Amino acid sequence: MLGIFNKIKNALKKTIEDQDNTVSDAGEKVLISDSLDKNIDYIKRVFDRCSDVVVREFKIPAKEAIDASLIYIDGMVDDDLVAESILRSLQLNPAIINDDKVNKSNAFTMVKERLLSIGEIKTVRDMDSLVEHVLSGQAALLIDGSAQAIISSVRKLESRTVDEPQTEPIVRGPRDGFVENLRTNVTLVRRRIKSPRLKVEIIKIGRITQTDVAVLYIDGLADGEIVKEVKERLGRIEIDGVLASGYLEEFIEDYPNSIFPQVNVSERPDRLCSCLLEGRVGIIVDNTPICLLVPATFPQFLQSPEDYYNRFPYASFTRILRFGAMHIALLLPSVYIAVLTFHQEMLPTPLLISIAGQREGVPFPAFLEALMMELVFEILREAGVRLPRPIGQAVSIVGALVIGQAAVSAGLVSSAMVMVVSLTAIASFTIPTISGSYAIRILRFPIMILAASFGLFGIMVGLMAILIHVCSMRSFGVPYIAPFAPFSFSDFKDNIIRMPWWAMINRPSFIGVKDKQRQKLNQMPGPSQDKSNPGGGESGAGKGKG
Amino acid sequence: MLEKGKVSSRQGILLLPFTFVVSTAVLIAPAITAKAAGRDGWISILLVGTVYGLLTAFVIIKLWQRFPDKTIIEYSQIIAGPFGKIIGAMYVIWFIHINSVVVREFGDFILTSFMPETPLIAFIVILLFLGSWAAKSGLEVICRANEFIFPLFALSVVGISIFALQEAEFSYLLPIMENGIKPILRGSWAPMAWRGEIIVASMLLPYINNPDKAGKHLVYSVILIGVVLTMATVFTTVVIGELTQYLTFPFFELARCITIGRFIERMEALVLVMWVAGVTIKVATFFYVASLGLGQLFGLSDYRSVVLPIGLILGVWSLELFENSILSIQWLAEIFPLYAFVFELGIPSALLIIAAATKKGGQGRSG
Repeated sequence: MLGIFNKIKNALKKTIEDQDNTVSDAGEKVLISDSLDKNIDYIKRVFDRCSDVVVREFKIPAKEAIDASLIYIDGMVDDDLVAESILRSLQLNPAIINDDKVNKSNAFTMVKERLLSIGEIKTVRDMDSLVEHVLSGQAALLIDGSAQAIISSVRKLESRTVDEPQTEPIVRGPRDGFVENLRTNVTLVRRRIKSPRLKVEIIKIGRITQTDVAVLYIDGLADGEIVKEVKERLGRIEIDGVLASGYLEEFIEDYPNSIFPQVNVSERPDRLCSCLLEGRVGIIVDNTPICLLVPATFPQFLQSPEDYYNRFPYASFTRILRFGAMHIALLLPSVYIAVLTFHQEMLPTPLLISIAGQREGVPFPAFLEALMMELVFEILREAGVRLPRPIGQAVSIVGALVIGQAAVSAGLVSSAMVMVVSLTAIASFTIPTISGSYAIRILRFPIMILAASFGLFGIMVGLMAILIHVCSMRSFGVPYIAPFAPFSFSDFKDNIIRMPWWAMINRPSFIGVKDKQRQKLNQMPGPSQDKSNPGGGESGAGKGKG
Repeated sequence: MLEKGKVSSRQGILLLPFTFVVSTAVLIAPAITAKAAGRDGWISILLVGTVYGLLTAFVIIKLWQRFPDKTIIEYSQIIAGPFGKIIGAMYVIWFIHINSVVVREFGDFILTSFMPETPLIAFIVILLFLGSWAAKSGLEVICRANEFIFPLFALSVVGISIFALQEAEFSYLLPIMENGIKPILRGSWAPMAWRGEIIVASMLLPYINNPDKAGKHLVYSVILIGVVLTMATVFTTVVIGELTQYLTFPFFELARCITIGRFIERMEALVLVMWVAGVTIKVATFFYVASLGLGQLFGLSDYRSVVLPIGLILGVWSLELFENSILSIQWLAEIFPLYAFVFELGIPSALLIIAAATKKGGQGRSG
């Protein structure tokens, strides 16, 4: 990790050298000199043509006035704080005005220890880290006569307020979502996990953008190997810029060519926290409201955080529903094609007659009909997402009414086909994660082709191929379709169904958590066993086992 | 070792043999058994088949205890010396041959039952593609895929049997043992050969990560196979009756009989699902053990390089093996049992006796 820091620094240095070769010798740090003029000269050269950098020169009014200079970027710092806590306390502080004990040699310690009223300060000795800090929104104070700079944390970044997540709405549960600001996002997590075991490690990625990337995990829960692996894979990335978490996702996957998503993404802090508590690792990238969660397992893509907030029968019901809907989204058009093309005998006769009647005037084979309609739907969907919201509504009306209805009455498609396509579409909307639904939507097409050529046999072959593929996948060492295979009975408590919280005693075993138990045994509630009322029953007895 | 992955004994020894034996046996064995044993076929499968299966399991386990980290290809070279290589080569050829028979059975079934106009080679190529992909991915992947489909597979067999209940006429089973024990013994030839396919486990045992349970699991597997096959035979007998022996795929016909509430009928799709899933696993397993065996025989550093050549041999062999499906069933009923017996029980028992006599290999763990 240190290696990458040095590389970044060297790269930074090179860009500076390109502008002026006399600035430094290659490969060595440029130290801050004790002459303020020289320093300012250097800084002005580095920030040449950067109109947003402010270099405020002023004097500390001791008996013998001392020159000082404050460097910061306009708009990234809190103006009030700079005025109040730095400029005012240095210039108008009665304690030092005309004080003859203050001179060039002790001014630095004096300022640092007694005058600055800022929470977090740091001293640096070389120019590169000074520049780095200034660029990340801190103010650097240089004082004539000392070869050091004080970095004060006065960052104030403009940011959207914490808002309801747009991509993962839920009915019951917290409504705050991540924003673009990394600090705010980390705070949202820290507020939920008030433990020093929550570790937040910052890595800088991006040669030019210098983006902060936070790796979050709970010490003692997350498998050390996985944490190490995550940091290693992040550290290997050398790219000029990271603008969103999606850039990193493609760099840290195990199977880059697979159609299945191998990193779970979310903009919900509660989802991140529940994953951290299961022993997973979270990655938050500055300037992105979407965090990454690894290792990812396939069942996760069918789960919504709401499953844990609703009572367990309701949650289990919706999970089974979603599981079924996923299969509908993947298979329904293919099964329709296969049955109409190859296996008409499988339909009950009345149904077959009704479908055949509708298809009377349709000029296309079932496969072409289905392919056309599915493509039209995907186009409509994409159009709906890209258009501004008011127009998006219009598109869906055009799509649903005009194309659907008109196509049927024009005899281009059968109404059964329209039903199949719309059911498929609706089913695909139940998949709660975006990347999960993309995989299913794309896989639908090859399976349709297989169904058109080999009927049910083709569909089954497609499914077996998918199965072999997902079985061979691992995400950061965790089998991708755990707990289906390798099968684990205790992990099935939180899979297709969700058992009540008091019954989910252990954390998922496949992530490699050492501290397996997450709660006390035998917490199944029941009416209190009042001694004065011996008819209380046996409901207090839990059924959990160690 | 050529295979670096490790699987649990439940995955590799309990569930995998179940799938690769039942997947083909459930469709074909009832008819072959019924030809000889008539309505008593289920006794052949339940009793004689299971005893034979247990015997095979016993020999495999005893041999494995002497050579816990070796496959049959490897320890036959230690036990039989110079003849070991020949035995190993015979096993590899046997695996490939059995696999090509399975591939052919599969193609014939799809061809006759679902798509009579598609050329056979299409099914064979597709199946071999899936099988070689799985074999290349390794034992872990085959076991995991099998673990995933196992519930579907078992549920389809049980489900078809239960749905067929309303058509059942249990008096078809009577009288039991009308002609004495001889027809039953004769009928048990074919099911025995299928049950003995668990010899494949001798190629998998070294890669089990909890060996202390493996012996127990192999026995469970044999018993489970017996129960499920018996159920399938009993239901084909009680629903289809005497006709069973004239059908090629009686279990498939059983699924065709199902009608529930005049709406759910003709569940052969379920059979198709089960069949494709199960046979893919079976072909992948045999494919894998053949490649692994060949790799061990020639001391290759990676068995994956021989997967493709073996696939080509398999494709050609299965196409040219039989002229038509009638001949293949005849082969399965008459020649396969004896042929299989040599490899399933004959050679392993001989190896065990020689090993015990010459005191080769460790005495192994108890149990």
